[in-house]
Amino acid sequence: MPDVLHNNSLIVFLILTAGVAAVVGLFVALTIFLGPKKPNEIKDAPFESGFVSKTDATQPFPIKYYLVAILFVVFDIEVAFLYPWAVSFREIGAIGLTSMVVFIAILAVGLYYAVKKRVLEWK
Amino acid sequence: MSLPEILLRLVLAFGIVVTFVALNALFLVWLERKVSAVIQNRMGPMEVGPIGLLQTMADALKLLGKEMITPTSVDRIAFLLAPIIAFLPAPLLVAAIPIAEGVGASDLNVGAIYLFAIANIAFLGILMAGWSSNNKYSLLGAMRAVAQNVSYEIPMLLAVLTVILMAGSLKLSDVVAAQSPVPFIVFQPIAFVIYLICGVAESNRTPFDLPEAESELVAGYHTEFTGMRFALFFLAEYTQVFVLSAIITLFFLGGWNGPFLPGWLWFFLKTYVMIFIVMWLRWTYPRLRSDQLMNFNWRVLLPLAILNLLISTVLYRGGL
Amino acid sequence: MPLEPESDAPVSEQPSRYLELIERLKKAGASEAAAVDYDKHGMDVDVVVTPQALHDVARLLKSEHFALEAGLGVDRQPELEVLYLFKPYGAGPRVKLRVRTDRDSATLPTLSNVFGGTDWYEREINDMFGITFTDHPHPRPLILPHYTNFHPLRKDFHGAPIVVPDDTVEIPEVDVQEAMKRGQAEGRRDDFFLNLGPQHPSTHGVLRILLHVEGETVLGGRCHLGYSHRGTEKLAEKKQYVQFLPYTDRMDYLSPLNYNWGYAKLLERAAGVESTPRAEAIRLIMAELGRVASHLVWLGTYLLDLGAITPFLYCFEDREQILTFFERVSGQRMMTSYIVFGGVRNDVYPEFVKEISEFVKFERKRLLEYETLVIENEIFLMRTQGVGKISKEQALEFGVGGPVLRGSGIAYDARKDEPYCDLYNELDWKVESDARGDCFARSHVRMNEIVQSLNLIEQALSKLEEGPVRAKVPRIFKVAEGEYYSVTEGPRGVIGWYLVADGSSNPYRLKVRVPSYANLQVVEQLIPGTRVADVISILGSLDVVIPEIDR
Repeated sequence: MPDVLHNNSLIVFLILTAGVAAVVGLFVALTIFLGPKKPNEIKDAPFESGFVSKTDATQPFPIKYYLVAILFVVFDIEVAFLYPWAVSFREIGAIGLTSMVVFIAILAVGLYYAVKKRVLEWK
Repeated sequence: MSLPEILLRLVLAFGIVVTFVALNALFLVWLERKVSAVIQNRMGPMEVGPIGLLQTMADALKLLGKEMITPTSVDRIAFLLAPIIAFLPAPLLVAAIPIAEGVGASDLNVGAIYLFAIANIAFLGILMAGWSSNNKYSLLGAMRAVAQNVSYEIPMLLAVLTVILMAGSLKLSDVVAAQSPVPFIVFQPIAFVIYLICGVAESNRTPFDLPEAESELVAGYHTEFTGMRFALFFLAEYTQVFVLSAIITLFFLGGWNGPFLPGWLWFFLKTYVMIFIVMWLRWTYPRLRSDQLMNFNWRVLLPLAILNLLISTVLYRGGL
Repeated sequence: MPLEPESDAPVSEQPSRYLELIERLKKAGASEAAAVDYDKHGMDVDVVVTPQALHDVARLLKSEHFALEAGLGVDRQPELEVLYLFKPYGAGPRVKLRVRTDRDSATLPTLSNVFGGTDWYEREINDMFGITFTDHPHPRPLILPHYTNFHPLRKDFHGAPIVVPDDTVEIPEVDVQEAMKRGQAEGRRDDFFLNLGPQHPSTHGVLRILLHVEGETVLGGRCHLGYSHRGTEKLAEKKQYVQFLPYTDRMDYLSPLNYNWGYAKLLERAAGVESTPRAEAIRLIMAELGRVASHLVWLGTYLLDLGAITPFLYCFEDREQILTFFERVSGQRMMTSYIVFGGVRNDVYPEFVKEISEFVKFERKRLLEYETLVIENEIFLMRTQGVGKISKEQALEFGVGGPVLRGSGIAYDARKDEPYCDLYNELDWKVESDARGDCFARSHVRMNEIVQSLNLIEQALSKLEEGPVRAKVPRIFKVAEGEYYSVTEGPRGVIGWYLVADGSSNPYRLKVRVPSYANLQVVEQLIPGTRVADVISILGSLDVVIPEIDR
């Protein structure tokens, strides 16, 4: 396998994405030709247990979902910092260890705070 | 290497990956039906092909010929793109998984990060599907999917972190090499369990199948999808199961390391045993409720993962 | 032909234990109160009240822990009458409260502010008799479509064309309208209305619940019924007594035999006929098998509602065996019509005893498996414990029955407390109950009830003595003028048959008190504040059969 493919994940990613999208698009297009097309009013209405929906379903998510999203971003970025540290763990020695323990501790305190604040109480 | 040669290899690798994804998903659907049949004391598909092996093939062909309904009130662009985006990561992930020493479409130097980054694209597809359908069940499914997948991502990454710590590399072949002769599951049993739980949760399967909870949300986020579009969600789910099991094999079960048998066989053996376990879970457990799911993650899994990371860091430093 | 209430014996001959209650009722405002012969009429105390005194009398009954069992309308020509049946779940008299209104004004005060459970009964009476209940909290048709303008159970109704308007969009209930308006006024767009059913995997038939949802949280919900209404009660008035039997199978497709039995018992009570000892034992065995089958379906479908698919197939496998017994005994798997007036239709087949006792042994082993694998499962416990709590007071107010009642800590079982079959007293078994009142308590009670039913079957098999299986009964017979009530315990609770006979060979009015009716009604009280998943869990734990409710 050529090096350019091994070491440059962006190129691999882009080429594969384009390829897969093309294949999948082909399949979808194929069913458009193969499948029947007999639309009618009832068939094309959104399913709601056999009833005509009274209210629109495209509406904002309740606020608690945004809270989870923010928490996710906070923790996910912290975890992203941890990955390079884990790889170079052997080289950076005791300083690396202590600083990361402090970092994880802050992470844990933040989690504890969130739990105590009942942010995660999913009601 | 000349440019045509590179292109040829690329096309070849691509063809193999896509064919593998399709065939593997069809096989897994058949396997799931057989596993459930055995668990439920019945036969499962028997009619098409020997012991029903071609049944899923027939089903896929049937879905090709089905009408693709696009409800009038949907957000057309998002609705059209959703199944494609949900399916997209499946082959991209498979392409990055080495199945034996030097065998695989690619072996990236940041393989671990690549896997977790790409896997998350699928949720975007689910969110788009649920939101664009203009269907309340789909919307509820999308809400659940996002909250669930986002939450379970963190303990999952923390669990893998302990493995990366021990391997000292993000390259998948290095991670496997580090597990010779003892696989990481021996040193990191807690991380393994956390990863398994989160992985099942991320692939939206029972007991974590809330986004498509049949008895509550009819079909959740893919209620409005028919024909090939539905099939794409379906295939994506099964490929995700394969990827989940393959990652567990690579990170915890020692990958292709094993005596007597060739490496790739070990790899597939371990992977399919994991797939069987995931299926077994599905046909055994009832479904959790959304608040229980979230509380379990934030109150149990995440603290446990952080604790596990701290302890293994200290232990590892202390000479393990 | 106006019907007079049955003449009563002089007060001095009435059983003394109810005299005090009758006195109290009179003091509270009842215009007439008299004891009735239970053995003949299935009722202990007959009370007539004026609309003005209705509330006071009902409050008295409530303070004495009477439960609402049913509400029904009768067209007395020219007056219209509404009856409320009460029973304290435990020892105590069965009381019927009668209140009349004239045909033209047809207005009565609602009782739903005293007994919440009358809500649906009154709405149904409004559909069927056109009686308006003033101050009713949800004045909306329950069973009939909202555009009908006739009242089918009035005696002067002889059929009318149903004109379906082009625009059949119904007007939502007042509280739904208000909630919608409130949402708009506050600019809050998080909440929406979700139709759960009629085409939904978990509504156990064609039930529609209009849920008011905010994210995952349910703010409230209203049941909409009538999708499988067949007008059985009207049909009964056009059929002869014996001809009506096959219709009783079709009320509840999970326990036809229990319905057969109740109806047979009603006719036997009205005609003064006793069935034979062998028939009684066969009835008991078959009805208990029916209960086991019904509970097995509940177990399977409940787990299906909770997301576990596998138990469903095992439960149906077991039920399949029971249905095979039914088929061999009666020729029919589901619509058996086997328990008939005066006994059972035909004798059982020779290997019956052997096969059933083998099945009982087999089922005991299976139950042990279900208990350890399903009921003790951690996720099952999480999904059921503390969910959908029904308090004792609620249980009485809404008159819930069967395992739902016993799951709220009230150990009432018509088999024990009002034995309609002597064998229930002779055999060794106990009434299961659980005071916790949540979904788990109901599940627990049902699982134990299967064991009790198996005990009963096993013992009854040994009591199966030789003899005729049907008493001598007339082919066509007339029931003497009067009112009769019979109670049997179905898998879902008390099945009550209220018959108003006018001396002819057709019922004048036949009302079926179906257990699911009350059991489902309580759901509207349980769901506010829960999650969508809990609604499914609660609904499943109540084990409702919608066609039974719609009749």
